[in-house]
Formats: sequence, C-alpha cells, structure tokens
Amino acid sequence: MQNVKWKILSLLLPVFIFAGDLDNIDISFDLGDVDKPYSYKGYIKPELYYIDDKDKYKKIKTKLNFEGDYKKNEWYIKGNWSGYYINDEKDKKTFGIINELYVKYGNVNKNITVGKELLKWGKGYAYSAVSFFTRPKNPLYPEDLKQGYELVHLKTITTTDTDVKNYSLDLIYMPVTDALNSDLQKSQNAGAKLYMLYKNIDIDLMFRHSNVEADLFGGDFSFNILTELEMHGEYAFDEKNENSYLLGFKYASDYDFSVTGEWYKDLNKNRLVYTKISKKDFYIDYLTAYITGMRNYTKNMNSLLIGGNYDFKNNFITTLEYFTSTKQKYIKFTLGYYF
Amino acid sequence: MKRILIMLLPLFLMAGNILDEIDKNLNPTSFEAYKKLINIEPDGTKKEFLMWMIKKDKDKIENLFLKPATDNGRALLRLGENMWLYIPGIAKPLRVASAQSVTGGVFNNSDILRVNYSSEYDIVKQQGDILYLKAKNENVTYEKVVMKIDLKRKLPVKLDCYAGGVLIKTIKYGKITDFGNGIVRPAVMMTTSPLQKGYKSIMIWAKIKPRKLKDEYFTLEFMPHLNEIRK
Repeated sequence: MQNVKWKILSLLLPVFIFAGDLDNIDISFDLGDVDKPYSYKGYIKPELYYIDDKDKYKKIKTKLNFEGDYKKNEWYIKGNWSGYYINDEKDKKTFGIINELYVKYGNVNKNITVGKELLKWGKGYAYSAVSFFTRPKNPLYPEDLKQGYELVHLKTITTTDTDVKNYSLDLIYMPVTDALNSDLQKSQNAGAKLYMLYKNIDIDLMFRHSNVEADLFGGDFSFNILTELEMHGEYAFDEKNENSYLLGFKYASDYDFSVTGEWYKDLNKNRLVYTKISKKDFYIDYLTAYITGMRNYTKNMNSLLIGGNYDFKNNFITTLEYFTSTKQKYIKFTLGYYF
Repeated sequence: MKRILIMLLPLFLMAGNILDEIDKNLNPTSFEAYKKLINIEPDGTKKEFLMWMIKKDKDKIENLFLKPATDNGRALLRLGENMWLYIPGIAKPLRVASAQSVTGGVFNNSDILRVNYSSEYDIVKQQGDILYLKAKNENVTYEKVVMKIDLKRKLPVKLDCYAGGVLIKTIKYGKITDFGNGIVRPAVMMTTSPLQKGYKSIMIWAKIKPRKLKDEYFTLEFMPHLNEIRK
C-alpha cells in the first residue's frame, strides 16, 4: 500500500512543483451584472481646445455617450445616444442625438432590423468609397462616427466547407421623408451588399439604387500579404461613370508599432492621402503615441496631428493632441471617463 | 525494476497523439466561458480585463471584452491563422498579428485566442513528461515549445516558448478545477517573459460550459453582434 502511495506521489510531484505559486491564486471572480439579458455602457469626455485660426480662442466640448441593449429570445433592442455641450466663447449650444435605436428579430442566419442603425460598409480606415448608407467619417477620428440612418435591414450569414468559407447578404431599404432621415434629399433608396471570405480574402460587392441620385456600384477587398501587413481596397462608380477608389495598408509589428496608409479619390475628384503611425506602450506602459498626416492634393491642403493617450487603468483615459493644418491649429486636451 | 515499470506505464499507454488528448481535456469541442486577464507590473499595479469567449472545433475562437469599460464591446476573432480585432466605431474589423497584444502585458493575441495545440504544433520528441513541439509552419507565434505535462491527467503544466532560438515566454498552468459537465482542467494560466522582467500576466477561467455554437458566429460580419448571443 505504501509503495502505491509513493508511486502516485512520484507521478504527481512535478505537478505540485510547477503548480506551486499558481495554486495560491484566488480563482473566484464576481461577474457582476455582465451575465444579464441587458447591458449598458458609456462615457463622458470633456475636451478643451486652444484654437488658432483667424482668431485665438478656447473651446470646451463635452460629449456624453450612453448605449444600452436588451435581448429576449429572438428579439434584440439597442439604443445609442450622444449629448453635446459646446462653448467656444462666441456661442454656446447643447444638443442630443439618437445615434442608433432599432429592433432586431431573428437569429445569426437570418434577421431583420428596423430603426436607426449605423451600417459599417467598406474596408477603409480613414475614408470609404463604398459606405453608401453611412455618413462621411472624420479621418482624424473615424471612431467618432456613431449616427446611423433610419432603415430596414435584412441580413443573412451562411458558412460553407468550400473556398468561400462564409458569405453574407445585406438588403437595405432607406426612405427619406420629412420624418425619416430628414437631413437628406427626399428619396427612396434601396441597396444590397454581398460579403464573402474567399480563401483568406475578405470581399464585398455592393450597390445602391436611388430615385433621385445616380445609382452606385462598388466592391472592396482586404487580405494579409504578410502576417504583419494587411492590404485593402475599395472601388465605386456611378451611372454617370464618375468613380471613387481607395487603396490602403496596415502594417502591425509584433511590438505594437503600426502604420496605416490610404490613398483615396472621392466622387468629387478630391485626391487624398492619409498616414497614421502609432506605438503602444511608448516608453511608458499604457501610453500610446501617434502621428497622423493627411494631404488633399486637389485642394493643396495639408494637416498633421501629433498626439498621445494614457490609460490610467481605472476607466479614465487622457489625451493630448496638437493639430496643425493649412487652415487651423489647435491643442486639444481630453479626459474621458468610461462606465 | 517493477516499480520503475509501473511508473513508466502511463507513457506506454499514451496511444496516438497526446496533444489531441491534451486539447480535448483543456477544451470541449464547442463551449463558452468567462475569462479574467490580469496584467501585473513590476511595481505591483494591476490592470484587469473581463472577457467572454466562445470556441468551436480546433481553430475557431472569439473573445468579447466586457471590462474595463474602456474596452467594452471590443471583439477578437481567430479563424486558423487569421485574426481580427473589432473596435466599436471603426468600420471594419482590423486584421491583427498573433504576436501583438491587444491587452498589453505578457500575453499576446495568440495566447488570448489559444487554438488547439495540435493544430499548431507537431511532437518532435517525448522524454517522459516532456514534449518537444515544433510549429507546423512559420506563421505560428512560437517556433518551438517545450511542454511539461501532467501524465496522469494529460494536461499541460508548463510551457517554455521559443522564437528565433531564444526563450521568450514561460507559461504555467495551475489550479485544476472541476467546472462540471466532465470538464476538469486548470483554471489558471500565468505567463512571464525574460524579455519583460518583473511583468506577469494571469488568466483565470470561469463558467466553462459546453454550448452548441453555429459556425456563423465566427465570421467578421457577426463580430459587432457578438454580445447578442451572450445573453
């Protein structure tokens, strides 16, 4: 019997030696309210600008964003709201925008969404030639685009065992009336997007039909040419043979150094180039530094943004940026609190 | 002599590829789980992440960040060697490199989105409870791994990970836990690196549950909607 004990101990000994310090770690953790059918999140972000254009002045812009969702069986409801307070010494204004508010019914394979939804078409980071149902992005802050359009959206996703690993189809109907999407010209719009992952290439084909504007057709792709180097492109044209295109890349090194570049021509024949270089943990942990340069060749305008953000690890992130362009200069300080 | 033979018996009983058995013991074929990731800096300060994850088959895995609030809604998808990061607000999921780290700390993206060992490595040699593994191709983050295993449970205990012939990371598993549904596996994974002296990162698993998952959940188009199936 004693021999058997020794045999077991001999077999388990290495486990105890190497597990040692790990076995003292407390593995219990409280999931809090994340395990509920609802969730919510948001942030408050006061921004202080020192602006130098024709005059020199300060501007305070405070953004509050709140997002919530709820799921029950096949039903899903989501809302996103932003509130703004802007004081630039000349004018004060306070306003709110419902960015998204929609109801979705269905499952991953087939679902229908009705309401205000932000669609994310295209592979471009700073620009897009094929976002036919989306407002233009600010290339300096593409993540600030939150406001969608009121529409009806049918979506299907299917996976296969062929070279087309998965594909999806989006069908869109977007009316523009006095009550719906009223910032656009009154019209009836419909469109579709077919996405597929072909081998290791993401491909989309899309179109938009409108009864007041020229129909638009487009396509995009994205793939990794090397493990660290991604290439993407977009092409769109309309019935009048005006075209728009984008070619871009993102290089991401193992050490969290990344370079993003895009060459873009829009339907109005503006030719733009965009480059962003960023480095995470720049000399200090949790400090990200970045520099963004843009040039509009058509209008002969340049702009440069140099900035850095620091994550305090307690849901506060602070950002300091210096921006200079042909028209304006500013220094911007932001302190964001996320909840 | 008889005692030695008894001690070595488990080695001879290891039929087939032991990596497949280790993978099977670590992960059910299709499951969901919550993970807490803690980055600990040399001065003792910590940053914690709470994630919900789903995994199916050998190489489909997806993570949704729930905490901290600054990262809430971010999603990481891995399909074989392809990896994407979805950041709410950015139009498309961005392709990311496996050796990068979206969380900072010592864990890189391939550690966070760990696919089955057998899909990335071949056993070159086995000496007792030590497996010498070699990457199947050059896209795998660590070209060589020396894995110490628990022969009885067929679970990993410690991994020394090499790239360019240099030890770049040590990963230790611990705290064997019964998660129910026959899942008995380490609840903790800790990593340190000689390249980041004084830093360590810990991953703790909870609520590991088998779940039928559709392949469509592991698509770029579904990444922005991942939170919808968590509820």
